[in-house]
Amino acid sequence: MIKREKAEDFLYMEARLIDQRNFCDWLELFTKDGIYWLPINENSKPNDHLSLIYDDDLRRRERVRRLALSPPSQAPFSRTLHVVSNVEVVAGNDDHDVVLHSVQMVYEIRGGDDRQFELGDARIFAARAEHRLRLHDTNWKIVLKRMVLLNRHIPIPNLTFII
Amino acid sequence: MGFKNGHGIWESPMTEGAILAMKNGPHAEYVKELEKLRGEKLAHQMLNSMNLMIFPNLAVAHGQLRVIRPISVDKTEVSIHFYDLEQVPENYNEFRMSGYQRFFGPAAFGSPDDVEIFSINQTGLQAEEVEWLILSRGLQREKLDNQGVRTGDPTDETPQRAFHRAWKHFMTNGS
Repeated sequence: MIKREKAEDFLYMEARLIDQRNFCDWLELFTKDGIYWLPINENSKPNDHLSLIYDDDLRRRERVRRLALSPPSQAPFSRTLHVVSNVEVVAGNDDHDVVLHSVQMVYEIRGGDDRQFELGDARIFAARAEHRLRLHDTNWKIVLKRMVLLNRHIPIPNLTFII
Repeated sequence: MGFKNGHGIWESPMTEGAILAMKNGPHAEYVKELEKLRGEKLAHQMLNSMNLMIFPNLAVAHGQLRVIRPISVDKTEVSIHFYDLEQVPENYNEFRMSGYQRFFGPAAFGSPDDVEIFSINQTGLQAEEVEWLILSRGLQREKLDNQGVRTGDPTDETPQRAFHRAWKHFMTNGS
């Protein structure tokens, strides 16, 4: 098990890496078989229902690589700020050692030319997060990061940043 | 291709090399089954990349149904419905869904860029100096047959012209 204080440290560190756009180090937080998942229907298996994101290692690396290429939907890029709260620690199973539950509020803003539609508007994404962690030597690694967005059932404009 | 009633087809044929690669790839079984069921020629045509635009508001494209609903002059709702294929190997539907998730949707690698460009286009369309929407690509090589069907190349705007031609017809003297 992991103490709640340590669990919070881990989640804060992950949030900071994303907010500082240090995506290379963020990638290293995952195990090789780790999954980054934003479901639409959180009660379905990922093969039965479309997800907003269902990234294995390769696709997660492609996502980070694309961010560095400044595609139109990320030019200008998103600045984010994660607020992490309501952290709970639950025992895991054979696949993963612990499960962390948290609530995350993500503020996102794309700066730039305000003549362009929606640029400069701050958006808030509220999500219930689940992190399944496995201990590798002395480091905790992410086996699954699942973010269940509050607004997952309604149209979402571009969600092309790491949440 | 563009049709008199406003429908359009965009098709990009598979090269022989691409078909061969598919026959030797992880979806060889799917190609084999399709050839057995439909014959080689039709099966290979079915593997083509094809978009079907049904005037005025339905599209069959990229393994999806799209329903286009105009809401106001500056707002259009496009709802996308993904479907599985029946009687195909399970890994083929998984492959389609994974590819779909990679490209389409707000957090994917394709359509958010399109949406961004559409929104920039909307801003641009509010400019009052240019009164025309230019859709002339490939106009010089478009062929018109005696059934009224126009055919162009895959990069041409033949289907778009068909849509606007029909729209103009119905909005002026059409019945």
